[in-house]
Amino acid sequence: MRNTAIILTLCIAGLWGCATWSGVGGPYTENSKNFRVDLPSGWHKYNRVRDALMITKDGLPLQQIKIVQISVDKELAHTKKKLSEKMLPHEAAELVVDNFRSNPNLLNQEILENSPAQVSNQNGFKIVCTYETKGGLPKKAAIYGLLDGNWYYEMIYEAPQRWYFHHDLPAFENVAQSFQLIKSAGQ
Amino acid sequence: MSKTIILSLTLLFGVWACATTDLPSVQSMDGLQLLPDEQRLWNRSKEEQERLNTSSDIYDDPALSAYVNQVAQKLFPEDLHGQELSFQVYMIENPLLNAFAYPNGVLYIHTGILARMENEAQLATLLSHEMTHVTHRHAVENFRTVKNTTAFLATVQVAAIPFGAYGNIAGMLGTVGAMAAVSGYSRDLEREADIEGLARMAAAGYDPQEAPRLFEHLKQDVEEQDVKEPFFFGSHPRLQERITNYNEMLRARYAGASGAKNTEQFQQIVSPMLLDNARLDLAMGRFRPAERTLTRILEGEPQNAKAHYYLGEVCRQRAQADDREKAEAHYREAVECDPALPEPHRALGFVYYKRGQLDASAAELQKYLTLSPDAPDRAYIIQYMQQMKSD
Repeated sequence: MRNTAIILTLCIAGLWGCATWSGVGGPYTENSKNFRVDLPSGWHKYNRVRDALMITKDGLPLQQIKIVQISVDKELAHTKKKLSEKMLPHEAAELVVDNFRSNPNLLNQEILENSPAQVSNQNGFKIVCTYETKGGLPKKAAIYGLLDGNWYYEMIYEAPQRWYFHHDLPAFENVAQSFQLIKSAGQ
Repeated sequence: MSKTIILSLTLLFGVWACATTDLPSVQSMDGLQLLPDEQRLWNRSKEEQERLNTSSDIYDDPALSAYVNQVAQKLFPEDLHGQELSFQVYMIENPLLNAFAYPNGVLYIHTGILARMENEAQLATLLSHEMTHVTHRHAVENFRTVKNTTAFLATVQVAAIPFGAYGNIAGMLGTVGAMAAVSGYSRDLEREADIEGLARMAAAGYDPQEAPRLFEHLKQDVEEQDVKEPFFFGSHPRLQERITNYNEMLRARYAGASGAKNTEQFQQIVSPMLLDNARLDLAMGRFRPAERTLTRILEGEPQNAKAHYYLGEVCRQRAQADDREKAEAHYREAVECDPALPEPHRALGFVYYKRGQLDASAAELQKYLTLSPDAPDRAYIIQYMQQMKSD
């Protein structure tokens, strides 16, 4: 009887640990990726992604915020070019734009804004762009990027252009403003 | 009993899978009559073309488009005049070396492959090859073959995989386009297109000796970029095999034959596109093709400031060995060739900024903003200039 209870407890704990979604809201620290951030209440974290923090309110296709930490040694997904720690913010932004334009899964890509922005009290950049999915859905994305030493940090918010993007943009802006590196390369 | 059934099924499947799908060419038919599955392919093709033609991926250069279509008309077989089949060529803004034909006679050529050609005879080689796929109804033959075999699965998978650094063409194509553009045709069908295509371009008065040159450019690209995907004319061994086949055909059937190359006219018309294509190569990080195209532009126009500037960008972004010095030299050349071109001033501004020559940097960045008051990166420039003032 006691063994059964232990097994049951372990199974529940195991299932809990494997849950696809978990609720978020408030301060959130990702030690392994060297950042902390305030997440909006009522959103859910998608746990099936290991290399990024990914949250949504109504479902990933409707709106998602993704925060990633990428080594500058790594080739970006769609261009053969690499980031470098010596790059100025606009040069890093230029590369991110090239990568976006070379994405095979997107159509009619357009850059609406590419400007300097403060990210974790450092000089980073902000890009706003529109595109169509292969299925023909017009989407819009806002990206904040920061190069810090050998790491590139990126916060991406994407949602269908119609209604969703503007509706949840303030939540993303709050996330972006709250983003802080736990330890900066310059420290 | 069960063994007999299995054997029978295997034989039946084998026969079905190997069933010949040879169809008569359009020329040999008494009027174009589409078979039911062929009609469906044509309908599907039209739908896919509508999407493709309204996307921002179509390269808009009316003069170049008119020229390419004129060459296609020269290659259009006379015995097809008056039939329902006609040819229309569009260009896709994409630096990868590719081209493909839909079964209804609509052809798409990437700017990348046009940029690698040296003359009109090479363009005619490509067009006549693609036109043969159409006139010999290769799309429907291919569709039947892959539908009958496990190759269908491979084709669908190939069409579905993300192409990463190899461009966005797969993303916007439907099944018919992906089969033509990505998976290509069987070795036999490609061989037929090579033989018939070569005959067609030679009959139109072009120099057949130029035909293998096109494939040599493709092979060079495959080697340089270490392309593994089955793209356009196929993998490296297949390309080598085809160059050999072409040379054998030339020896056997076209020994001593010559014809028009129309190099000068071709170079003049493609020239404005070369710079656009080099920029695309640069965006994808394809530094070698970008550098080669820009160097080619400068051989014809040594005072082309934009080509000097982009060559400087190739060096800066590639950032190898002495690239930084080379980049600066190209930016300076660009300024000498055209002091009113804004971008080289910005580039020099950042060269000086990184070197700590702040006064020189501020002067160049200010020139850039004066020459381009609505520059999209104005906010960055102002930020850097303010930082320099406060340093």
